[in-house]
Amino acid sequence: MQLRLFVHVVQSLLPALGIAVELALASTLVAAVVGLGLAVISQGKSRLGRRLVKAYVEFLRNTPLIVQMFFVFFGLPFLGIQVSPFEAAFLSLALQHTAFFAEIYRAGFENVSLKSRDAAKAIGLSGYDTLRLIVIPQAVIRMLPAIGNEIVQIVKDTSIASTIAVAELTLRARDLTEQTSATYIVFAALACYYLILNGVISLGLRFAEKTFAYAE
Amino acid sequence: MIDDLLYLLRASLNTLALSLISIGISTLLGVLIGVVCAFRVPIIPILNAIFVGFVRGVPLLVVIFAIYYSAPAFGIDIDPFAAAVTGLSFYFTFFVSEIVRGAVGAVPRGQFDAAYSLGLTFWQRARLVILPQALRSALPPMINTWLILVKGSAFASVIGVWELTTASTELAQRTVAPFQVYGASMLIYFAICFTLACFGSFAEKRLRFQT
Repeated sequence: MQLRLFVHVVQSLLPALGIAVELALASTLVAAVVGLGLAVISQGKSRLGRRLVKAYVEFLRNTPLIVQMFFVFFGLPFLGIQVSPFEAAFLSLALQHTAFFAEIYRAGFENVSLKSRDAAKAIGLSGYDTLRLIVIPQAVIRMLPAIGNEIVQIVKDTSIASTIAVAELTLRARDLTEQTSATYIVFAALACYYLILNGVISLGLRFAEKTFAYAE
Repeated sequence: MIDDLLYLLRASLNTLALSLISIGISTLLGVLIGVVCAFRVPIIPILNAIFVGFVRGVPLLVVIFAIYYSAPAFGIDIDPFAAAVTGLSFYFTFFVSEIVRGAVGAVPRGQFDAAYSLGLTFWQRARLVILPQALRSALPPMINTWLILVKGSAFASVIGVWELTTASTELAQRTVAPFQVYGASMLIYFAICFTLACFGSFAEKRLRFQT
């Protein structure tokens, strides 16, 4: 009986998995790219640019994503910009995680020691080759664990989209709990989805770490 | 206008209460579990690893929902505030335990042996020798975890706990000014969290060279 319910829930949640993955993927891509841009600015020469990036990162890091999502979803129409729930969720996830990605990149590049840069210069590598062969591989290997955690966090954060009526896993599960008294079965199935999703991401990252292991 | 702001500030006191209680419980339990794990007691490290894997993979929102809506199925009558405290404390206990486990592991092996050879008991070794050294390196990441907990307390709004996020939603509907209300609410959260963040980086600088 309970096993049948579990299977039923797993089947009913499957369509919602697509929406959650889509949301996570889109936000990860945008956040990873824009975050790199911010990291470059924060390494750059413009003092105003550095300060603006710092302010952006600090503000977004120190406010809850759920309130940001409400702000975007309920606040933007007030300014005359209509957004669908999915768009609002995507926008706020991307904005928040851009800040986290920028921090990861910044820490990664700052961690590559001056010694290896000097060594690269001493053996006559050009600036571009130093970046390509020495700095980037070392920075990437050091950033990978943090990037892995970050992607897992984005997947977990997609659950917040349920509060503004995006029909992803958590919202579907909430709907299903209304059909049964054995709500814990529904939540167990939901937890399994997140655990498997994040398990796959962790495995992928471990593979990537092996690929870049030569740099360490 | 001023009344509305005061309303939000009053609600943020509830956010603070919710956060502080959960920080207290999770830090206490987390340190305890982390220390026990590092001392190679059987079974507990395995359980700890299972729960750490669980909280790393499952969203806090789901955990809070699960506790609040599943408790009646087990015959437990739970009010929203208690459910939120339970969820937050459970979730962050295992973040703290992992930090502490790592920090205790980083204390040089010789310290353990020296304390043992002095004839100190288990709790004396933990309390007098290992913990003072381990907590130094554990404190900055622990403060960061507290910060994440304060932000996570906003999820209590989804099960109807009256705190800052719930109050903001109420106020936004009443005043039909969601832009300003949620903006103000973010500023209040920022004030709380940024204070913690500054405290964290201060602790990191202060404690760095003394181990």
